[in-house]
Amino acid sequence: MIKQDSSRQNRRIPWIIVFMTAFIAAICVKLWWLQIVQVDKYRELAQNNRTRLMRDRAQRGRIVDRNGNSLATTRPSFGLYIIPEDFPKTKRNEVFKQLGIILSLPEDMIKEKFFLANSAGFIPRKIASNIPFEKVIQIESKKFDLPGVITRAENTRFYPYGSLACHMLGYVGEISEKQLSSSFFTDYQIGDIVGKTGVESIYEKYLNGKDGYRWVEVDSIGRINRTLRQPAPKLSKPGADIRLTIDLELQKSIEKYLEPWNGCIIVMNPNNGEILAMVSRPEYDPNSFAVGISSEEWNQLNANKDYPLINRPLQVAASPGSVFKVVTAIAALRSNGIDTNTSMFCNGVFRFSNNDFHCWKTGGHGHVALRQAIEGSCNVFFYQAGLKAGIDSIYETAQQFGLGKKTMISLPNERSGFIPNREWKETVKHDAWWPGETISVSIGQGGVLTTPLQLINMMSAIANGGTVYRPKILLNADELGIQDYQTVLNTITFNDDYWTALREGLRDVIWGDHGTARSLKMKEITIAGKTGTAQVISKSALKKLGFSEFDIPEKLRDHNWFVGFAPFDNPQVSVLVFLENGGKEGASRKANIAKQVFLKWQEVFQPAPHVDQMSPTPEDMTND
Amino acid sequence: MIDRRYLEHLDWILLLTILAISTLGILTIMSVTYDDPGMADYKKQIIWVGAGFGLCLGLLFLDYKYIIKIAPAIYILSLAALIYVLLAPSELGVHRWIKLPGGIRLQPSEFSKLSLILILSWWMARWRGVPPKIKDLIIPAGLMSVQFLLIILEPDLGTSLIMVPIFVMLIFASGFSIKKMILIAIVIIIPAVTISPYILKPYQMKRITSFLNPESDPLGSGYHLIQSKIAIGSGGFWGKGYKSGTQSHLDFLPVQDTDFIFAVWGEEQGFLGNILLMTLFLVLLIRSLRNAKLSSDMAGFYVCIGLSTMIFCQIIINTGMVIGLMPITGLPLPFMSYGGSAALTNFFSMSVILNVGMRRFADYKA
Repeated sequence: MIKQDSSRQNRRIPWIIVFMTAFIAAICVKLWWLQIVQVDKYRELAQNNRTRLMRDRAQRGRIVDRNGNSLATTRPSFGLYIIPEDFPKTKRNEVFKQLGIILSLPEDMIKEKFFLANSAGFIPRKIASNIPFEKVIQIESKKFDLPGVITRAENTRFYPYGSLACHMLGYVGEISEKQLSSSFFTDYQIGDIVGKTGVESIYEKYLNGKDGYRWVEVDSIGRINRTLRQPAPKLSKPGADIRLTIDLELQKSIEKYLEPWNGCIIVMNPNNGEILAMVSRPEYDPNSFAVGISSEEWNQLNANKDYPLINRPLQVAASPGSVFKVVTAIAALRSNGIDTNTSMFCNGVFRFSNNDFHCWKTGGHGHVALRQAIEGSCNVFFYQAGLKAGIDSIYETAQQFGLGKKTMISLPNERSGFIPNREWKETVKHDAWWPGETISVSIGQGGVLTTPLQLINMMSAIANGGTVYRPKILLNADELGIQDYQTVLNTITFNDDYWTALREGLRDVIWGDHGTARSLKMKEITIAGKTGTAQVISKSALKKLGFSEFDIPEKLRDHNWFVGFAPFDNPQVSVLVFLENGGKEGASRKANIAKQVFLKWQEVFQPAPHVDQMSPTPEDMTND
Repeated sequence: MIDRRYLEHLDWILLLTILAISTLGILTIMSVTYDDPGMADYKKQIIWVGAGFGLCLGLLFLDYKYIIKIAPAIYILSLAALIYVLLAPSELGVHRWIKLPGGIRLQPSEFSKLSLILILSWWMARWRGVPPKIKDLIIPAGLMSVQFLLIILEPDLGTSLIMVPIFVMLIFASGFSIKKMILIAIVIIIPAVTISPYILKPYQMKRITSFLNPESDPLGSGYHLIQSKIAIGSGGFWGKGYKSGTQSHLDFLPVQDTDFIFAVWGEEQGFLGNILLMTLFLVLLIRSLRNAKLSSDMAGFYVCIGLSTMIFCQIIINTGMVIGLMPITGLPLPFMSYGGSAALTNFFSMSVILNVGMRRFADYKA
């Protein structure tokens, strides 16, 4: 068993040493290759491995009223996300169930949100927004039972006054796939909140701001470890505030005046087209969109027969009824068909080529000239005036006042309405214009459709002496760098006497003995204006359907209009009240609503001097 | 008592080298686990290294010849343990551990390498320095094969693959004809390569294929290899500094304190640190082989050759795996990686090698 030093076995040891050294050397050569030769490549790989460019979403700009009161703002909230990579397949159902209980959401909805996102494994998928703080705590404390579930602080759009001016403000929601693929939204990413309609959408560019960026160090599963100082982070630039022309107090008050009617109220400054208040009823709460509206809620809003999502001032085109008589009057005056003294006789019915055209007043108005005809809204006068003017002149005048075409207000989905005309009849209907149709058009029927906004714009032009402004809702256009924001759509030149006669007629509607809106007469403010009724269905058709005149179903009742301006001598405000299917009750209420609006406007914009009451007199001091 | 001459013949250089590498191991484990909640691994590793070192010194009092003498018993015990784990319920899909009370888990395959070296040394010593004929190899090959198969069934590819080079190296050291060795190798390797796809588990095959082409599956098994190469490569010449490795501290590296500890070391200490570590390993191997040469008997000779080959294989397989020269097999780096069984095995091996060198003159013994 004793070994010899020079044995055959011992002679093999140097070979073993050479063999082992060769292997160690090979390892060292490879290390040299990796660490010396290719070091730059691997350094870069390591850098890319651990650094990520994170986007800091800019805070969305506010929407404020003309005095700077916030109408739309952001508030901190928590969003719930799931990171697929940290979300073990075996525990998914359990986690969905748990989240459903905590958030009181249906499990299927959570699943749907998760599986529809279909993003890369390390990108968090948004499950819910605006999680109440106590639920955030609950989720965080159950971290171990909810692997992959994270909560993140974020900003949620918030409308402090709920439904106030909701149609004008619009609402926000997650960007759609279609939007993402358009060039306007190149800087946006999946899940970003964008304006969907209203001011939120029109001024998205300004409200959005500029997102910031920062380099962060992440670990192998993408969790942020720290923010790197180099390359330096770029701070986000918050979006600009949009200052609207509307007045919070006025808006808030007139929303109440409209109750319980559906319809709209518009308050405008006739001298520059600024919209001071604009109400559309029924309304909705844009906050429910901001937190991610449920499909159930959305379906309810859409199925609602009162169409709460419709912005009535610009999305409803209805027959203007007697309001249109103003246009007929101007057309007749301009075409020299009549002058201010032309008198006509109304016995309650006008016969034209074997057809009877009735006045609304059964007994007739007797002899009336322009002023009295406007005051009493005499149909027979305007039938004849319309015939004298001719459809072409009526159409042209309506066009000049902006009726039947979009007002270009900076709000989406405006309707243009329609004014019947000869060309349309010939090209579309393939029929010649029939003078009897002119008679219907003269009193705002026979297919005349105007939006409430067009009508108040027309009345404002009458009030200011012929300037048709583009309705304006943005007060800080210059600040935002929007050029040519205020534009005059048209200037109507007209004989001054005619303007005066027309305005006086409109004043008599309120102040005259036979005026149709005498309840607006008050000493505080001199109002001029015009009422109108838009038939939804003709009386004969109503009879055919078997309804009596006193029991008309709501949706078939007439719409009621009032459009006016004040003060008469120096118009500072125009007001439109539109009661949808107001019927007979609405006809008697519309003037009262308008009255309240005028008074409120005066209170807000022209507060009466209170100096006497405010400054204490010596007596007050001593008597106390 | 221990003879004073034994102390003179103790290989101090080898002992210090082992301690140096163990210290570097603890420091590296500390770098990646110092901020772990609870008891950090490096503290446990200090205990394991301490225990291993104690075992190493304690065993020096015992003549290695006694250990060789009981080699057959150890071998049978090891076979029993390997069969036991195969019969016991599997854990993580493999039969690898024996659970002891107190949460300690033993890995019989770890100790079976030692029992193989001991039994082969015990058997081959009986050739009395006469180079073996081919038929002489049948029994050693059989002893190796039984263990090899039991371990491959666990399955523990890394450990079983180490047994073959140990066996081959011992045959080479026995003075067996080199021509015949090459001939046998050709006869065995070709069929082995052909049938291996049918024997290996899918994940083992995947490791081999992803080794051949790591980019084919960058987020699967190739991921670890890519990340460890990035770790080593980005370390550069000087390294990123202690506790400053981004690849390891941001968890891009898998099992950083065990199988991939070399990547952590390479990232933080750079090429310079790697050369230092490889030099220490080379010193360890050469000193171990020197003790083989100095041994007073054939059993001691074979035991030193076998043990140093075992350490050598682990070094090459582990570092080679981390830098992409070897498939990923899950084998720890001796004296560096965290782990109790490995620490005890390695210190035991070193103890035996030191023992052989210390008792180089048989006639000292009274």
